[in-house]
Order: sequence, then structure tokens, then C-alpha cells
Amino acid sequence: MADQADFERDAMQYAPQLYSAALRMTRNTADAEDVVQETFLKAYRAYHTFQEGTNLKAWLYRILTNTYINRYRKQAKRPTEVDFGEVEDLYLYKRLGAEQPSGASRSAEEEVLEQFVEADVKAAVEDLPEHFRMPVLLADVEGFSYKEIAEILDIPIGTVMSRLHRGRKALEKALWAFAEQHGLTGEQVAGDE
Amino acid sequence: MSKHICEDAVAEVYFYLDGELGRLKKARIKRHLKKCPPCMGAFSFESRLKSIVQERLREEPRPEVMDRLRAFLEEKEPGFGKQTSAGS
Repeated sequence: MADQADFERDAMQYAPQLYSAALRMTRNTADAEDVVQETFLKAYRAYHTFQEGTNLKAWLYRILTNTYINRYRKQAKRPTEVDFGEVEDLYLYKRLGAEQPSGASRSAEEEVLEQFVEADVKAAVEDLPEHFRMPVLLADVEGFSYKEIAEILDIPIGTVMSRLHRGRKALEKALWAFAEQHGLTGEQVAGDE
Repeated sequence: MSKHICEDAVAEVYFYLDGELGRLKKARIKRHLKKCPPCMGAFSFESRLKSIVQERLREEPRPEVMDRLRAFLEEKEPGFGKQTSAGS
């Protein structure tokens, strides 16, 4: 059992990361701040139930996720399950260039990735339906394992995998749309002869 | 390179990059990538994409946000933040 006296020392270090995740969930700074405040208050009050030696970061993210869901699911109706259909493997990579063998140097496809600005990537992630967005955030941004994500979101690990994989493909699709809009595709990337 | 082997490797790309494969499967894919530039290109791309997402989405809160969080906790829970000086 954890001692509330240690909360500040042990848990507060995760506040900036939780805030960053909350921003991607709520999509605005005021709501993100509210959700993080409520999360830390709940966590502080429940800290005696935290099993010392287990994963504190995952425990905090679980509270964050539940706080977010409880607050915002009440307002917004459950998001409709958007059917992205079957997005093929390597969707973005295949569209950015033919799969020509590349040497040791970074490929033209990877050069395009470098040109995606923060706003593009944020918009692409924030536009994902919630059931895709959360696993993608937890895996790619926060670096949690599938098992941890299953515990945080309280869903089976098989569901984590399928949502994460489908979410990433949907993300690739959205990024491709940005690449097309911004003229990052095709010849421009290869540079002048 | 046999198309079948490449398809199998690509199907595992996320598991591989997420560190969710067992030791044997991981080693098998590593061996394949060494011999197969097209698959290596695809894996390298997906890996870079994963890190781009992380880099672009990390956002450090302004100091005021963290100050307000502390003030909020101190207001709701007067014990918060006092324990270090109080000792045990």
C-alpha cells in the first residue's frame, strides 16, 4: 500500500505527460487542465489503494482515461463506429513511393515524414474516432505495452491489438491526405535533377 | 525474396516495432530484413512514422498549468505538499 505522503514525490513527475495526453483526448487546453486536475485529486485520494511496486504511470493513466470518459461520454453520444474498411498494409509508404530498394541512406518516403508539421500530426490523431485514438496515443506517444493498454482501457488485449493496428492505418490514411494537400507527394520530394 | 516471406514479415511490422514479439520471431524477422532491402525500407519507414507521431504530439505544459494543478490540490487537500517538512 502506498503512503499518501509519497504522492508528491512519486506521482507529480507524471503530470506534464498526463497533461499532454489529456490535450490529445479533449482537444483543448481548458478541458485538458480540468481533466488532469480531477485525475490528480482522485489519484491523491485513492493513493492508499495503489499497490507499491506496480506500475504507477499506468495506474495514473487509467484514472485519467476513466475521468475523461466519464466526463465527456455523458455529453457526446457514444461515437459511432466509423468503418474504415480494410486499409491495406503499408498504406502510406506504398503511396509515397514505389517500393524501390533503398540504400543505407534514408529513403525519399522517410524524407516526406520529416515534413509533416506538428499541426498535421495532431489533427490526424485528433480526428481518429476515440476507440482508435486512445490505443494509438497510449502506444505511440506514451510507449505503453499492449498489456498495459489493456489494463488502462479495461479491454481485452486482442481488442487493443486490432484497434491499435486499425487506428494506425486510419492515421496513415489521414496523413496521406495531408501530404496530398500540401504537395508533399511525388516529384517534389525527390528534388530537382 | 519469396513474396510469402515478405508478406509474413510485413504483417508483423507493428508487433515488431512495439516490442511485442517473442525472441524467436523477432530474430527471424531481423534475419529477413538483413537480406531484403524492400522489407527493410518498409520497416524503417514505419519505425520513423512511429517516432514522428511521438515527437510531434509531445507537448510540455506551460509552467502556469502545473502551478495551478498544485494550487488546486492544496486547496482541495490541505495535506498535499506539506508532508516533506512534517517528516514521518
